[in-house]
Amino acid sequence: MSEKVALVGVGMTKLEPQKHETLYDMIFEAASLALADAGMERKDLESVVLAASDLVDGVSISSMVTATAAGAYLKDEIKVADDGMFGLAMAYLRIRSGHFSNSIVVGWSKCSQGSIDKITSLNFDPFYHRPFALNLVTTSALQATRYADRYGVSEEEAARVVVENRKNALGNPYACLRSEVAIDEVLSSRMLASPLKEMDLSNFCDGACALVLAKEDQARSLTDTPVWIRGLGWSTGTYYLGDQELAELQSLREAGQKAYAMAGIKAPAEEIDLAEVYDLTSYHQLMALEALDFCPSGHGGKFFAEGSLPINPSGGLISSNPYFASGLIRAAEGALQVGGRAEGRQVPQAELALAHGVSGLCYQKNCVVVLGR
Amino acid sequence: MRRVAIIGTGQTVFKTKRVDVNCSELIFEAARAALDQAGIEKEDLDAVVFASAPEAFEGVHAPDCWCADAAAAIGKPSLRIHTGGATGGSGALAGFTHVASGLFDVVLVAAVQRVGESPDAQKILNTIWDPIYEKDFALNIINACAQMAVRYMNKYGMTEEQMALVSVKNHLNAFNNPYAHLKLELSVEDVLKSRVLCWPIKLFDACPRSDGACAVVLASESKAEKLSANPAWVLGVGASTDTYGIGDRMVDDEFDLADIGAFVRAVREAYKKAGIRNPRREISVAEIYAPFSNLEIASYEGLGFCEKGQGGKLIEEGVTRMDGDLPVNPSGGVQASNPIGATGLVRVAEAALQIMGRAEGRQVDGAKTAIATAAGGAAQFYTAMILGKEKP
Repeated sequence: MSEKVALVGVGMTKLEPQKHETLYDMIFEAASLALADAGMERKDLESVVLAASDLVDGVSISSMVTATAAGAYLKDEIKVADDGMFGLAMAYLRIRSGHFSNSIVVGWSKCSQGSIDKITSLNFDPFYHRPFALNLVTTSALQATRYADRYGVSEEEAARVVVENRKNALGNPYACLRSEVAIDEVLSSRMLASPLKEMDLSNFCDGACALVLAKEDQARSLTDTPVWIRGLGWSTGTYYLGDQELAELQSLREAGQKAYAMAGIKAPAEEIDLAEVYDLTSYHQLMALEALDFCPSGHGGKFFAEGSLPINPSGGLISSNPYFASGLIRAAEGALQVGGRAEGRQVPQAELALAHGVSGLCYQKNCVVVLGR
Repeated sequence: MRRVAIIGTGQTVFKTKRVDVNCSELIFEAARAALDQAGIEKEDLDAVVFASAPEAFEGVHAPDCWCADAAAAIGKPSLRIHTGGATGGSGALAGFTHVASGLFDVVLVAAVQRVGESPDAQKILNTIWDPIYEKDFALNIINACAQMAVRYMNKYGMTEEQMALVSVKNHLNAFNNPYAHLKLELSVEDVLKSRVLCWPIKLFDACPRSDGACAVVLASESKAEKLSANPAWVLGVGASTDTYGIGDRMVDDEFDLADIGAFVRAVREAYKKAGIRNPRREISVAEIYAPFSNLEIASYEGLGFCEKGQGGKLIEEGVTRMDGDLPVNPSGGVQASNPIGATGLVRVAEAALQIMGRAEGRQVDGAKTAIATAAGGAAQFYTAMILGKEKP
């Protein structure tokens, strides 16, 4: 039995600050596009994997409303309450188990419906941590501070990530923020939590993404250009901020190593043609490059400035962050690149792409996929 | 297909509120017990599946992150499954998938719900409905399931007495289960006279709301045979998702709201994989997710234990009692303990204990094949898992 699994269909809604479609209309759009892209119909689907957060959706058990929009009626469906990249991992495992020959995975978030600060403050235990105003922004700032302090990373180095990612988004018709910014604008944008300024933070928005996966024989019959999942790894870090070295994304390092081992990659910086990393903030993009072994610890800024590896040609989360869909969109972008279908943001000769998703705060859970022709 | 077996289970005691432990400690209690029963340490685990339903119960977003250490997930691949009440069943299926994929040999599934943190479980369950159009109708799980009961009564003539017989049986069974939340010695009359929650469901037809956790260790064939003298082999799994709108479940010719079509499909898929043709004869014991007595009766038919509309008769004949020839819910079932997101995994753990011959006071003699089911959403998501003594 072949153990190869391919991505055969990609579907994405436009990523927008506030979409007027309902959640299920957004999901239906992404799922329908992915099925059409795969040349499949709903009846051909064997498995449905969903990925989202009840709190972001504003409904407990939100998959009740969204499952059938993703094609799940009378199908074997499961929901992962993590970033969509973990949904991709679940779909991959399902096909590898031999019990399914294909699966769709759908992730979404409609951030315009609520306050990300308030929702993420609920990630902290109510007694000991929540009263400290901890949330996604403030904990990311703690992490950025530690990273900058440990390795002497300047605000300008981080701001350059914003400038590049925003420039890349010009080539991405799905991106939410599609305008260039100058480094001075980033540096003088409103301070959120030192050292993070408004433009350093990813741009929370609305959107849905769907991918169709298939096992080898089905993939080959559906498309002449399947994008193979070459490596996949995920790992879990500690929850308490004091239990970890905040400047090192340990669980991302572990996830990357697992994915590289499966893909047989020894020198990521040389072998991988482009990376879609989870840039929750500009600082986190640099930290991620280090944890993914593209460069030694503390060299993220230097490596990025050299420009030898195309990073986030889509514009990344800094341009568009539909929260729980963002990791899945990294994989979708990687698939489009490897398939030579990334149009205005296409990286020449993209044969091997890395994509990365995150769940939890301070990059507690990471999932990395390596996609190849 | 790779063979997978359950080699260890762990449960906490279920109570309205476990004031003696926090959420992590609750999970730790179940996870530690499961590792002990499997005879392994956390270092032996290759991956972890965390399962919990609406975090509105715990009041903490991403409880899997909060409790990652207690679930032995640090430094390991882990993800969180959440399919409402079916979460524990979906978690078990996800754990099975992890091992069946060949990527992992030993996987822990840890499920928890800390319902005791919330003053009113049904108020939280009201938030599963559309906030604009439906929430205001005071929908909750009790009245959603009462609609199913009414439809079933109307279609097949189920009586309140038949429902009461199910409650009497389950609460009696719970006396044999050291983990059970409610242990009640009830007569049919006690059930019939109990307070009406939403007709025809009365207080003693309903499940409690429980704090609790459950954990299960799944292993690949080679690991299971090495680690366990009596593994419970997974013979078949199935899952199916129904429509969101309850009214939309009245359009199917074969199954309407009374027949729980998605449940039947999940069960049939599991039977097909397990090669079970005559469940009434081939299944030795069932642990099914029936939070209200009417749903157990409807489930008998979905499980193929009797013809459509004959579920009421089955309980009248005593077939599903401990002294019957096909005991259902020896643990007392969901009517005795309902730690929502963990409940489906408790069914799996109880079924595994029966197969392993470790169910002690609630052991069904010679149990060879067991089925465990779960249900979630407003009766929308279903899972089924069949376990057996003999390697498939």
